Parts: sequence; structure tokens; C-alpha cells
Amino acid sequence: MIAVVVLAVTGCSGAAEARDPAQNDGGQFVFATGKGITCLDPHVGGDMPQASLAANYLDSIVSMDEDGGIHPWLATSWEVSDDGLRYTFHLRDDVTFTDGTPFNAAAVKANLEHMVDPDTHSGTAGGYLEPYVKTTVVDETTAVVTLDRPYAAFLEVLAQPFLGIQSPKALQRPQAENCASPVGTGPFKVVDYVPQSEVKLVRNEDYNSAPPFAEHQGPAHIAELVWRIIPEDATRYGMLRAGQVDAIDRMPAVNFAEARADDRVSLILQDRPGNPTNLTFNITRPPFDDIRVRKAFLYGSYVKAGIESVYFGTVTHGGGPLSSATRFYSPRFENVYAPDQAKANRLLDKAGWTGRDDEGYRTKDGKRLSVVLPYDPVSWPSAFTALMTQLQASAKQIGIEMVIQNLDTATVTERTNNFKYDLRAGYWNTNTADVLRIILSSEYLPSNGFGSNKAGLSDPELDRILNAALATNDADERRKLYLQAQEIVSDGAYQLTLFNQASQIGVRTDRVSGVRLEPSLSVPYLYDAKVVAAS
Amino acid sequence: MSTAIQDPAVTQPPGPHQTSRNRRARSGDLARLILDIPLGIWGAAAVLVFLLLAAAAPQLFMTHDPYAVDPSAAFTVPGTEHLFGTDQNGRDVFSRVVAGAGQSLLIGFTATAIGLTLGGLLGITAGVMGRFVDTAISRAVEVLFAFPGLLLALIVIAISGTGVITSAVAVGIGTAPGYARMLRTQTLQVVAAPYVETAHALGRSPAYTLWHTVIPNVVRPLLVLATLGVGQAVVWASSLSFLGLGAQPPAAEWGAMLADGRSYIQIAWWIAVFPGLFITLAALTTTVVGRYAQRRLEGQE
Repeated sequence: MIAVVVLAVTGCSGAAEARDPAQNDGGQFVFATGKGITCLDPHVGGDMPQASLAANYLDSIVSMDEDGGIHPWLATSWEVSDDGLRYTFHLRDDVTFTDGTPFNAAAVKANLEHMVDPDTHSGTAGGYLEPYVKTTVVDETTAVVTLDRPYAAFLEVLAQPFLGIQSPKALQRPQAENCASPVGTGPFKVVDYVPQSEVKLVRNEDYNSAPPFAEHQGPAHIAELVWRIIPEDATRYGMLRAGQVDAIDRMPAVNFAEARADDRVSLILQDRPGNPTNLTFNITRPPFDDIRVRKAFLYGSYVKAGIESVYFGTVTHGGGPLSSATRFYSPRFENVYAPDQAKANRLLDKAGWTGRDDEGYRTKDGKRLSVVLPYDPVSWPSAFTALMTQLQASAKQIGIEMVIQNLDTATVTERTNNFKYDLRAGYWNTNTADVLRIILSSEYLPSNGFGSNKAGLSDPELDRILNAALATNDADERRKLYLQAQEIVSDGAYQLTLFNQASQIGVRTDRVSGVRLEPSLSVPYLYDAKVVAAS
Repeated sequence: MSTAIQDPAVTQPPGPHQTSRNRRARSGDLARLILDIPLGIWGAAAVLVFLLLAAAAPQLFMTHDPYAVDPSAAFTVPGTEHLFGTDQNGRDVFSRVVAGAGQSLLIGFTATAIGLTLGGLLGITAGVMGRFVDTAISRAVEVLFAFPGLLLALIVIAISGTGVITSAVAVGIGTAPGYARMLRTQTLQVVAAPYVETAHALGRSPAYTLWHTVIPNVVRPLLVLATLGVGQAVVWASSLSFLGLGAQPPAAEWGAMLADGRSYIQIAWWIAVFPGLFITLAALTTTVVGRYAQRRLEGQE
């Protein structure tokens, strides 16, 4: 009750902010995002909300088009050595960071080194740069990056906002400071950040480095960009309807029908490439160290029915290791584990979980078959919470107790980093099938410095195939290798994949136009956006 | 208090203890007493009895399994099959509300008991011991007062983790400073009362006086305070569950149900409205009944 009042109050606090397009040509654009941001610098950690914001104030070395093709951006051209180990980038000489620092080869070096520096704690960008060895500054506009092995996905990841280029001068400040006021060469610059509340950005009047996928050149159309953080689904959508914000992400599934019927609102929907939203099994401890229990859990889960009932068809089922929007995705693994309770029960019997306790759960040696999902309800949409409840109920039908443990974000992170879970809710958005290496190869076990392998898997054969796929630029060869990899991952039953990650943006088209998605990660891109009518 | 004046009990000279004669007079006039109670109080009491019954024996009322998930039956409109409709997972909202009564009231009563016990220990100790102990306890309680009660409860949860028991303890601790202050004042009044001086004059030992004279007179008004406190504790416990810090899924706890339902308010109002209504009813009825009891007691004194 108290909480309802608090939400209602915070929901209204921004309402009074009237915008005045006459005051600043171009006007103000207010965007509301559904997931909090702890550090704005996308090199640190690396979660989607950081990438969404970064796409609007950082430029990247190269850019990607809608079809996955790589194009120039801050680099005008590049050459790759025959062994695939040396990338020579030729850089623009007329670009300046918004703090006045010139962009040059030294800036490229400083950024890549910032991402791989263990002190940066860069799970995403740093993880992608695992093969990085060094950058040599040849002259102002030439940088040579050396890798320790061929890395076919290198340019693809460089195009992502996670690897956006920041001012080397700004990067030298303490991390907390750079987290609050990162500096780039992009179309907007961060001027104010109130943690967990809002980020204020203003137009970079000197912007001259728009990427090829942009629809215009020079400064952005809108003068001021306010990026508000509104985790509460109903509040965020209500603000869009009430005209307090111009666009929102994480469109609540329950409101799609109403938004579609509203001619002032349009939806921008795009599935993202990478690893679908999933529950990953921790195979380093019982009971999921036993593949039969993992497979039983998969056969016992009614994912499609759950998605239809709580997501109302707003997400696409993703049953395999890769999202269907990923290059080299194979549809063959979508329905490998179609629900089959009889099969699930047989597998659990075989695994020795034959006893039953008075609540109907299976037991072995007097111990209940119980698995824990540490869960942070604030970080997930309410539809996802409902889906978890349904999976909990379907697991119970085959005698597995699935404990959904509601915790705060920090505690969930701590548990996740130390393998203190049986199930972990997650996803990994990236524009390459190499995501399988990031989430399942032994290089990314916490013991090897990175912690993105949440299953705890160490499979030399899978490691070999995934690295072989990076060593060749032959598309057919890569397709063959990634097919093998998908098969190994599917057979191993390391994840219950649920649905494809998607950008779901609701836009007030009576107020703004030109809202688009940046192609590498499909995050909202407001450089081409215009305010067409004020409230 | 026009009704109270007609109560023969009131015509008795006011005293610290109810005498046995007093009690006899009451039971003899039970019929009149019943007629004296206003209709609103009867209504509140009836709802309270329903809630207590639902808490004690939910199977008497539940029409469905409150935890049975059926996606194909999600968002069913309230009707004869599902009295309060179904939620986003196809679970029967009425059965969940009934099942939730136990959790919510259990937390409410446990939390109040914990709050009263803690507050009582602090308040009575401060009131009886006087001087340094009083000053120390009063300052400590004032420090705790600097935190809003719910914040204090959140701190307890942050330290000890989420769950039904911890949220009861957390709410109990959150309310304890308020009780401590009230009971200290009450104790000071009782200690200064003539009948306590009389007890001293009669040569009773301090311990005897404390147990037989002071504590009974301090504790008696507590019963009323406790009834009022239960309503507040139910609301607080629901708030914690609403924030995801109390009952864990799939528990049918009113606050958690309200939190789950709020996203669907536009397409299925019943998922959030019924648990919300019952939180309000629980708080309202305990408060109404408690206030009435308080007035009756005060009227006697």
C-alpha cells in the first residue's frame, strides 16, 4: 500500500517538466528505460541498458549494417594480415571528443587497454577482447591491433556500443567519476546523471562523425535528450500514454494490444541476435551435475504455453542455443526438448530420484530434489516473473521443487559470481554466433578471469570447434562448425532457452519521429529522431 | 459514549482491577451488552471471524487449489466458476485470497507479539528502573525513532534475508520503538499511582509489587493496543511482500498478489483489487474492533 503510493508519487514527479521547443531549436526528447544503470561507461560490466545509452553518445571504430556487413566509422579503412592476427586501422583525423581531446591512434589504444584491464571489470567488452594482445600506435591515424589467435568475430564486436570509444583523458579519471560522466565523440554528450533516476544529455553541436547507417550527417536534430529510468512496467507505459515521455523500451507485453490500437503510439520490434533468454543450469554441483536431471527439467517445462499466456505472443520462442536473428543459427534445435512429462519422469527415476516426500517432491537418500533460482524481480519484467511461476508449477508436476528466491540485485550478482545457484536467469545479446564461446567455453570460466560461463562447463571438444570457427573467414566452413557447436550445446542440456531477446520500443509518433534501432545490437538510436510536436 | 453509560459495569467505582463482583454483573447482563454493540462493530467482527476462520481452516472456503497453474485459464473474468476470477497463471484468485489469510494474519499477529514483547521489555524496564536506565533506554528508542518503522524493517531484512519469518520479525522490530515509548509512559503513570504507594506502604517487596500491581496494570491496555497493531502489521507485511521482500513465490500472500497483479490492472483488475481489498479489510476490521474495545475500557476507567 505504502509502496503503491511511493510509485504513484515517483511516477508523477516528472510530469511537471514542461518542454519548450521554442527555447531550444530541436526540442527535448524524453526516453524512459525499464532497467537501471549502475555505471554509464559501457566498458564497465556491460549490460544492455548501458549499450542503449552508449549508442547515443559514443561512436565505434567500425559500424555494422542491417545485414551484418562491416563498414567504416571512426576508422576509414583497415587491413587484416594473412594469419588473421594483425588488424591495421586507418583512422579519421578530424574527430574530437566532447571534452576537446582529439581522436587518434593513441585513443584507440587507451580504449582497448581500458576494456581488457582487469580493474575495469569489463565482463562484456573485456570478454570479447580475450584474444587481444596489444595496440601499436604507428602514427596519429594508424593503429595496429595484435591478437593471439585468428578472431573472425573481431570486427563484429568492435561495431557494438559496448566497445564504444571514449576520451582517453576522461578514462584516466577514477572509475566512479567516469561511470557518472563518460565522454565520447557521439551525437549527444552526458551532462548530468542522477543514479537510478535519469541521465541528461545535450546535443554535440560539433558532431561530424555519423556512421553510414545514420540517415543524416552533422549534429543531431533534438537539442536535449533525457533518459529516465522507470523500472515499473505499468508506470513506464502509463507515462508514454499520458505524454510524459516520448518513447519507452521494454514495452510491457500486457499493453501491446492497447498500444497497437492507439494511433498515437507505434511499436518498433526487433529480435536481437545472441543467446536467447534462458535459465542456465549450474552443472558444477548436484543435482544438475547429472545430465538426466537437466534433461528431465527441460522435458518437464511447458515453455511455449507459458509464453503465450503471459507474453500474449509478443516474444518469439527460442528453443535452441542461438536466437533466430543470429548469423549461422540453425532451426534444427528449436524443439529438441518439446514437453514430455513421461520422458522426464523416466529420466528422474533412472537418476535415482525415486522417493517421494509428503509434499509430492522426489527424494534420493532422504534428500528432496530441490533447485534454487536466485531472482531479482526488479530487473525483470513482470511477465517474466509470471513465466518463472509457471515453470515452478510444471517442475513440481515431475517432482522437482524449484525455489524462486527473491533477492536484491547485489545479492543475485554475488551468488551468480560464485556458482551459488542451480538455475540462473540470463541472456547474452551479441551480433555473432561466437556468443556460444562466451557463455560456454572453458576460457570464460571464472577461474580463468571471466565469469560469463554460468553453466560451469568445460568441454575441450566444444572449445576446439568454437575456436576453429573463429580461425576461418570461409562462411560455409563457419556454418558447419557452428552447427556442430549448436548440436553439442543442445545435446548437453546446459540451458532451458525460453524466448529471443527483443528490442520492444513504444514511440509516441504524434510527438516524435525518426526513432530507429542501431543495427549491431538493435538498441534505440535517437540521432535521427525529431520532435514534431510539443505537449 | 451514551451506550457505555447504560452498562452496569460503568456504575461500579473505577478501580485499577476489575473486581469479581464487577465481572459477575457483566455476565448477568450479556444480552443487553450484545444489544449495546453498534451494527458496524458487528459487521467488522463478522469479517474478522471470517478471516480468522480462513486462516485457521482455509480448506473450508477454497474452491480450487490456490497453486494449480493452468495457462489456458489465465485472466478468467470473475463469475460462478471463479468467484474472483483467475490470475495471469490461471490460478483461482478467491482461493488464493483465502489461502493468503493465514500468511497475512500470521505475520500480523506474530509481528505484533514480537513488537509488543520487545517494546514492553524496554518500556517497562525504563519506567520501573528510572534515572540512568530510563535515560539510556529512552535515548536508544529515540535513535530508533529517527528511522521510519518500515525502513527499520527493511534494514532487518537487508541483514537477515527475505522470507515470511524474517518479515514478521522485521515488522515486529520496526514497531517496537513505538510500543516502548507508549509502555514507558504507561509504566510511569502506574508507578506513581496511589495504589502502588499503598502496596509499598503495606510492606510488599518491590518484586512483588512489580509483578502483582505494576505489570498487570501496565499490560491490560496492551490488549487493545495489540488489536490496533495487528492491522498495521498486516499492512506493513504486505508492503514488504509487495516489494518482493516478504513471502516468496508462489506463496499466496496478499501483498505479493497485489504486486503480481498491478501490471495487469488494465486488462484484469480483479487480480490486484481483491487482495488489495482484503488487506484493507484486515486492517480496517482489526482497527475498528480494537478502537471499540479501547473506548469501552476507557469508558470504564
